[in-house]
Parts: sequence; C-alpha cells; structure tokens
Amino acid sequence: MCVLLTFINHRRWVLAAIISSCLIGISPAYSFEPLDDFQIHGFASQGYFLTSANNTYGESSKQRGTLGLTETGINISFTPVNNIRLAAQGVYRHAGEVSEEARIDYALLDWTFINNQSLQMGLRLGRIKNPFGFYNETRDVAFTRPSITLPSIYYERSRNLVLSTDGAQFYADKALSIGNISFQFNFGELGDDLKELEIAILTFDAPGHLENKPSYLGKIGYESTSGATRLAFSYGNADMEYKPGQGDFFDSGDVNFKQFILSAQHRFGHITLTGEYLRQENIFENFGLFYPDVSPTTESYYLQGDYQFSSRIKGYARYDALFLDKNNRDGKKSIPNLPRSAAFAKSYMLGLQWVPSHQWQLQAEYHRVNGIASLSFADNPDLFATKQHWNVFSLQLSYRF
Amino acid sequence: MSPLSQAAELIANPSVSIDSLSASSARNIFTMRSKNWPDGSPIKVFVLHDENPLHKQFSKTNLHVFPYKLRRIWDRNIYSGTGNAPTTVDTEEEMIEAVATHPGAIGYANKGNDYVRIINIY
Repeated sequence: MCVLLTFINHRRWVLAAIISSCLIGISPAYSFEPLDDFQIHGFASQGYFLTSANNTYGESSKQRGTLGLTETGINISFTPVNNIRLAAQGVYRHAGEVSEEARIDYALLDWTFINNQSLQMGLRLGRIKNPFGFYNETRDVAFTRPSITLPSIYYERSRNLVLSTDGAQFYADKALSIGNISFQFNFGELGDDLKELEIAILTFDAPGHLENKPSYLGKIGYESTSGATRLAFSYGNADMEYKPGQGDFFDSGDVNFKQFILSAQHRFGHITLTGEYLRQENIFENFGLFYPDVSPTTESYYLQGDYQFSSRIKGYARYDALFLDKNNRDGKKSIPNLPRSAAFAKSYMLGLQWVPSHQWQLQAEYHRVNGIASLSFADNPDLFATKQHWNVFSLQLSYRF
Repeated sequence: MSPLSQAAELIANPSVSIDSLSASSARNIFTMRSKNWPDGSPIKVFVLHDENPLHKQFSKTNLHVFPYKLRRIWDRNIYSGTGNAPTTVDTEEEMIEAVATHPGAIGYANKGNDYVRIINIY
C-alpha cells in the first residue's frame, strides 16, 4: 500500500502522509490482521451516443453514433489497525476526443479519531474525492449517477479541476434522532490538465496553460433517518494562475472561482424529486490588454423526477439549464470567437433504467437540447459549425462488483 | 400470519457482549459509520443481497431505513474511498454460519440458533 500511494505524485506533503501511514502500519503496539478486512470492488460501463448534430463523446453526429464513453475502475480498502484505513482506486476513462487516461482516482489514509455510536470524526490524507453536490465524489461511477451523464452543474469542461484534492480532508458525521448531519472540508491542490477549462476562459487554445493553486471546498449535508429526504450545501473556492507560453497574447493572469451548490431530494412513495442549483462567481484578472478584467456569474440548475415502476425498472425526466453568464443568458451580448448559442444550454430529457440484477444496469435516454454551452471543444473544434438545436439518444450498460 | 409481517432478528457473534442496541446505533452499524463495539473491538457486518426479501424487511421494519439508502451509502463509501461496504452472503443459512464463526460479527435472520446471540433493538 505504501508503494501504491507513492504513484500519486511527488508533492512533499503527500509523501509526508505516506510516510506517516507506513509508520502507523508498522507500529508494534497494535495487532495486525489486514486480510480479514480487505475489500476489493470495481465497476465498468460503456456508453453509446447518437446526436442529430454536434459531437459528444466522439463523433456522435456520424451515422452510426459513437461508443466514445468508457469508464472502468477498481479499488481496494483495508484496515491495518483499528481506526486507520487505507484505500485506493484506479480509473481508466475514455471520453471522446477530450481524454483517454488511466489515473489514480483516490489514494488515502483515513484516520477516524472519534468513533462512537453517534459521532464519527476524522482526517483523510492523500488524494481525496471532492464532496460537491450529490454526485461529484462518484461522478465516474454509472451506478451512482441519476442518469447516463450528469446534469450541467457538474460542468464537464472543469471536471479535471473538481475531481479530487491532493491534500487533507476533515470529516464529521453525527447521528440525531431525525437523521444524520455530515460535514466534510477539503484543503489542498485540485486536479490539473485544465485544457478544456483554459479554452472555455480564453475561447481558444493559447500557448500557455492554467496551473492550480491551493484551494478549499466543503459540504454540509442532512439525510433523514429513512433516507427519503436529503439536503446539502456545498461551497468551493478555487484559485488558478495562467502561465503564458512563447509569443502569447496574454500576461500571467489570475483565475478565481467561488462556487456554491444547493441540493435537495425527497421521495414520495414511488416518486423521487431531485433538484440542485449552482452559482459560480468567476474572476479573471491581470491577463493584460487583450483580456480585460471581467467577473461573470455562472448559473445552472436542474429538476429531475424519477418514477419507480417496479423494483427493477425506473423512468425519469429532467429539465436542465446552464447560463455561463447570468447577465447574458441568451448570448445577445456578443462573445468574441464564439457563436451566441455558446452562452447557454437548456435541455429536456426522458430516460429509462433497467436493473436486471444488483450487478448490472442498462439505461436509455433521449435529450432535446437548445444551446451548446455544455459541448467539449476537443469534440467540436469549430463551434461555428455546430447547431443551436440538437437531440441526443444515448444508451449505457454498466457492471459492478 | 405471512412471514413478511414478523420482524427479523438482529443476530451477533457470541463474542459480542451486549443484549440490546438502539435503532439508531443499529443504523449506524449497518451504514458502516460505527466501526467498533463499545469495548473497542471491530464490528464485522454481514448482509444479504439488496433484492432479498429478508434484507428489505430487516431494513424497513427493524432499522426503519429504505434499502436504497443503505445501497447509496455503501456505494459512496467504496467508490469514493470514504468507507467500506458490508460483506454480502447469498442465503440466510450462510448468514447464520458467517455470524456464528466471525468474532465481532453482526447480521440478521428470520430465526437465529444457539450459535448466535439475539440482540434486541429498542
């Protein structure tokens, strides 16, 4: 496990976490029975996308569509001594032209320093998933998503930024008579490889690149005893710096995102309603003459209704909206280098899910989309060649163990 | 009386030194949040598959939790690295056998036997 953790990166404080985990692991004061608590789990899913225009996860607008979304992962967890747990997950993900990568998704040491029947409190060190909204922590695991692809508040262009934190997480979970209150706070460096985000900010692939700086985020959540009601508030503050390349138009600019998400879910018998609202203040400063300081506010929200026809079959419908700048919802104020429809994406979706066994899941969805703010640049290199109104048909088969 | 109208029994390994648990404590064990018995020894949780009628009955009647909540919490635990899932066994006989033979084990059954301890939920 110590060896596995060293793969994640070379940053000093991660190494400190690894060394301390190894030291605790060999401490002779504790009994050592790792095999009894060793767990291994995994997942795999394959998506299919066919669009009337515009590309998503590969050349989906070609006649036969695309199989361009593949997600697989395997994870291990074990408890070398009481209240100390080590866990790691490797993920392979292919997403159209945007990425094809194998990565360490998380690799952490989890120390529960208060652990009694109603309160758990602890620290996690290493690479930790970011608790953000209902679904960010497990956004690559089809079984945990409410649909084949996540709604727009889980903005794909910034996914690499928000996937995980290399640093520390403080957590607490308190059981009350009416349910559970949970709290997590992450501090450290967010993800890198921010090409899609850089293009989203600068509107083209400039010679430089974005680098992340220490950032933080947290979430407080409530879940009722039965599980029928869930509420959450998430807040994040992310800093990045633009490092200009050779012959760059731009100076070394500063990027700051302040983001919050309100999440709510309630189940009434066979019907579940879920809604999440995101508001993000984007501050772009010091990019120089060609990019005056601006601070647009992004707004996004969705409302989804699920109907459980039987324990194995579920139908769902969703309205989803994304406005990159809430003062330019329809794109009427011109955006340099981009068509007007790049300012927003509004969509209706209908879906069906079949779970033939607890290990398998098959989903089918149809989306009607107005706007292209959710499209990736890698799959759509010329946004002026895209269509404002487009439809998506998608299928996904998933397996887990 | 149909089998589904009677409550299932919470069972534990004889090494577990308690006779009763509050419903809230039992929920914290089956959601994998509490990891230790009051004496500090680790808890080992066994469950049947999500679709098993006894699993559904135990979740709803004994724990007052919808089975989908347990599944959601276990999935978050294992796929985000924040915790574990219980060990799944295929039948009630395997469940009783597993609980009887693993120190610190907890599970459930329609009817326990002499090799496991019955724990009351209050």
